[in-house]
Amino acid sequence: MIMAVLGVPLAVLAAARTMDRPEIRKWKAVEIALPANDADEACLGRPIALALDADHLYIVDAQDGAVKLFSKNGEFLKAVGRKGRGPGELSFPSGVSVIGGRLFVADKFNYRIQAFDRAGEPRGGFPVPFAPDKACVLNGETLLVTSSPTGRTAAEKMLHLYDFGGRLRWEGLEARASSDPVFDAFINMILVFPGEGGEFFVVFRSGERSILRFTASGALVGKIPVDERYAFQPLDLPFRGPKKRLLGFCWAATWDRGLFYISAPAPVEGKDLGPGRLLSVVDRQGRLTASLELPCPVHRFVVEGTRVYAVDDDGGLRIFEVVR
Amino acid sequence: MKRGLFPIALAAVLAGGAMGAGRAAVKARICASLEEASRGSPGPVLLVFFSTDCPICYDDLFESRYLIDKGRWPVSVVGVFSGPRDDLRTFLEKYAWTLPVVLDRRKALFKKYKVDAVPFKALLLGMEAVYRDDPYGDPDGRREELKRCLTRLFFR
Repeated sequence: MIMAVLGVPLAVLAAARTMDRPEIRKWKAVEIALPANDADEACLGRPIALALDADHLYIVDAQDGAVKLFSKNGEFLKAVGRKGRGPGELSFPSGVSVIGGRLFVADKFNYRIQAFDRAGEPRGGFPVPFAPDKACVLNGETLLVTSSPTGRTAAEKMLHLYDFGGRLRWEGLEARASSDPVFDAFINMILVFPGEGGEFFVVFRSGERSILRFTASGALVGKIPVDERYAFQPLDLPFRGPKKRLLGFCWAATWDRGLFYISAPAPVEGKDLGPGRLLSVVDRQGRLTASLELPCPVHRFVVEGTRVYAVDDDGGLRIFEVVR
Repeated sequence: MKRGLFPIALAAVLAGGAMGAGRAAVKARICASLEEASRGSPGPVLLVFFSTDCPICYDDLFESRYLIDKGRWPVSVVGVFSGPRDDLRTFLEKYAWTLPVVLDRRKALFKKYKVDAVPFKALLLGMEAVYRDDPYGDPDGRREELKRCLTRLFFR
């Protein structure tokens, strides 16, 4: 009797919750065959960031100290930059962003942002007082640069906004600090990606199930809680002191046409966690709207409409067409 | 680095610097495959995966050669490198390294022997890896383990 009385309101509540959540659609992806790309330069030694513009795919190869340009059908076109410390040379580049044919590269171990034109010629840049990790053009005048905290000083900022002349406009998002530098390194790993109209998003790779939304001036204007159905992969590591558990929220993420594409880490044989093959498609309200299953795990990716450009765990370029 | 090995690595570096003046005399052996690298010396092979960007890798490469030479183990040392050819050539000439190195741009050997990070060593008997560095081990511990493995396999 009691169950029957309670059952009605519970069923109503459950129905209301379900109505609030869209059905999760299952999307598949078909791999597009790529050209052979036999040139030695076309090999990707350590691809760690991708960017797109209207005609090209840009892949940062930290090992080769170059940004490699591909056509959108995957044909290798050229490498921009080479290893070194001089103008036009790069030391462990880790991020790239493109606007109007101008490339901005996070030149990590040279502590600078370097600009190139599409022909590969250096076109200035500016030094930064930290090892830059990612670079994102937000609009025609603002560049977002991220840094990983060193742990040497308190309240280190991880986001930095510069104008194209290298003038600092804003810094924010303080690194979280505990007594364990290894744990701190994990919990302060962030991913950033530009949205629309100069806004940008920040995702912590572990520990938070939300997406931070900032304006182009650095104002935090929203915290989007991500659907709890989105899978976490917990990770126990032998941190100093009591064992701490990381919630592996996100291996990689991007934004395209009003949707977040978030890949959760997956267990990998012989390792703790690695890249997964399932992308969660989340709307601006944080609701999981679709899951996209790729034919293979991907390490980094960008999305443009129904195309997914990715590098797999072996550093190979993969292009997929989404079937909705 | 073990105290006894440090002078060897240092000597290799200094010798490399001294050889820099006569770079044309050094014949770097950059190979396209493991088969090409081990041609003429069939038998056990110690693969040393390295990068020209990390000094720890240099030590591992130099000390691997020292270890094999000193123990007179019947093992060929073959370097494996996945970076640009020009970087490799410059490195080999600078350090007068004449042992074969496989230029593994497409990471076929890295994948085959499941190498995620360098430096890394694998001892092959035929195609089978009878020893692999512990990815979480420290360099000295790895070296001791390799020595134990060599002794077990090839003691006279």
